[in-house]
Amino acid sequence: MTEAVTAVATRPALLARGIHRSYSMAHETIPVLEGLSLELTRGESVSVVGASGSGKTTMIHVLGLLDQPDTGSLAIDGEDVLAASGARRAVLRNRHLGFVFQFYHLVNELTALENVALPARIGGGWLPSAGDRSAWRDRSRDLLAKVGLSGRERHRPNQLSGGERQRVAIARALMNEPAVLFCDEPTGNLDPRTSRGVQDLLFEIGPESRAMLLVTHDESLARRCGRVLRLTEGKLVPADPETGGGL
Amino acid sequence: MYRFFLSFRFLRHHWLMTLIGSFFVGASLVILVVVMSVMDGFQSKLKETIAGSSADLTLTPRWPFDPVELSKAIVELVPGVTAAAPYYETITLARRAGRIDATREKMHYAAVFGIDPQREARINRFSEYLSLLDRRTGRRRTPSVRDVADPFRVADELERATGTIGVVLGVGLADDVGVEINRKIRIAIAEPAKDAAGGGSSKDNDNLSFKYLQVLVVGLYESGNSEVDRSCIFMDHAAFRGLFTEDVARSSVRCRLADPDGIDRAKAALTTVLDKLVIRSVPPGVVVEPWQQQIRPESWKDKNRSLVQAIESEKSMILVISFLIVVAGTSSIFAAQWLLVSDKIREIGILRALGADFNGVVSIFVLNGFLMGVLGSAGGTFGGLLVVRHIDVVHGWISWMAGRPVFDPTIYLFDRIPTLVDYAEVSRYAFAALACTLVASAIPAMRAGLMKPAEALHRD
Repeated sequence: MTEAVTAVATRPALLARGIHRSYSMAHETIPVLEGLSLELTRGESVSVVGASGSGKTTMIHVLGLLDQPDTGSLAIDGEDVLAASGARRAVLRNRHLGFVFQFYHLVNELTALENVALPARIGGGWLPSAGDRSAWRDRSRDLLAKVGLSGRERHRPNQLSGGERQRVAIARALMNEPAVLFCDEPTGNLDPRTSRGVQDLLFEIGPESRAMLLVTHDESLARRCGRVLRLTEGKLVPADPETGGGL
Repeated sequence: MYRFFLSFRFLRHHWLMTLIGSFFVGASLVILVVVMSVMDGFQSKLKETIAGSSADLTLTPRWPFDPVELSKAIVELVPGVTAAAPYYETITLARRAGRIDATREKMHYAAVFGIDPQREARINRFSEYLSLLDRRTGRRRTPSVRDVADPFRVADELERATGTIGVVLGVGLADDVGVEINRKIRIAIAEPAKDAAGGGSSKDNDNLSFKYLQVLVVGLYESGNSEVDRSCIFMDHAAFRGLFTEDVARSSVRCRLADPDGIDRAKAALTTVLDKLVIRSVPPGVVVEPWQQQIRPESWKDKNRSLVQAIESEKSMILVISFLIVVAGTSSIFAAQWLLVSDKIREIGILRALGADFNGVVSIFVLNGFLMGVLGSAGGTFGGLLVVRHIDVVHGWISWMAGRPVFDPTIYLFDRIPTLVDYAEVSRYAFAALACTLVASAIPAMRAGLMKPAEALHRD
């Protein structure tokens, strides 16, 4: 039992090798990722910086199974995912990956509590038991409390501020206890004060027992991660070669 | 589970779109239900009118027979036959009695029917049709004869004593001939020509001679079927037999069936008891050859085949047209769903990112459209039945708005718009509308399912 736990802890949460992704535009092929490799382990936080258009979002989409690479290998929690079917990839996204987007991307028709519970609902199949539903509700409430939104459970996204929406999005991303948390410019749409609050929250609960991959332009935010990488010419390289990671 | 959950939420949140999508499905279904119910009502009324002056089944044997005896035998021996009546028919020419202006008043073609009024009342609506229709209201007035049970009775004692025959005239024929009740008409009676010596009938049946007979109009008949009403003269079967020989008249037996649609069963049953029918009905001393032991059954549908076919094909055409309206109605769901999918591209991306697969996303939007269809179909079915139930009120409103009666009882001769609701058919319409909504919502749903999550997430 102890060995199994150790194996999970030491197994990379995400392992990408030689990922290529290019886009065809008219008669031209634009390479975006050219042999990108990355290894993330649980408890680790990694930030990726890079110029606009360098392919950071494409990288998150490919590593987050929202897009298919042209070539390369990718394993999530030890499972090779590139050969997996669409349905299996959806299951993997649901159970092993969490996303926090720049523009929150909450479902406007749902309350904060329902937004947070949505990943559990999606993973719950056609007819989840009453016990399951009750457990989701409790966990969603706990997560909302954790991100400081107790009492706002029944509020809809349009009744929340930008910072509050992002907190709901963070809670939602953590609902199914993912192995990897992808954050794509999580503070890019917030004012500095609110941004600091969200950053603190992210680092407080984000990498608890999971890997966190954070894409940002904000250097102060990037520096808070254990490793800082730069995406340049389609590859990830240490942002400061001398320190092997830090800026 | 999240599929239902999100479908309901999208429906509720976009209630106006839901309402519009459902409304058009519902409205088209209202049209379909109302049109088909009125059509069925008209058809049923028309069939009732045709069958009301005819009978479910007319049987014409080839052997010499006594129609009264055969009527009794058929009721006793043929299962499914509840009543039978003798029936004689021939053709004649009729005109008003007395001095006439030959340049203006012509002879009119007429069919003469010899019936037994008591038995006839059991096989069709003869007694009812002795009461004329009120052109203004479409309802029937009081009977035109003194005694419905004995409609051919001549009331005037002197006329009766001189052997005057009482007849009931079709109301249209009475108009054409220009007579009223208690007026006389002349009818031409064909009979085999006498031989050269003026003795017995000629053996050559091709030669007929005509004589005129004055008969008294004692009542009028109105079935609502103008073809019948403009050509019929009814008289008692005994009087008929006294006037027309077998050479110029046809005799049959008309039957009423327990199940008016059980014509084929009755026809089959007839063949099993044919021998007994021959024995029971053949006049004494007459020998029936084997080739004569046949009987020709004709239903009222057989007799009015072209009209029945016209009605059926008209109904089919209207069904197709009305169903096209439903298809057009369900296109509102297609439009609503297409708009919804366009509006929810980011949400589709989010759902995919959170773990929804292709089937999940498709199900959400198919369910959404289907629920709209359920709302529309339920509302449309209920609304359609409600309109049918209160068709006269609705007709009043439409007539008020149009400034003239849309449905004129003087033309259709019905006191109210006839409707007939076939609930099984209505259910089929509702399910067909639902199936259309499924197809209509499946296309936008496929579009949603096929969206690439990465692109959907970043669509402005």
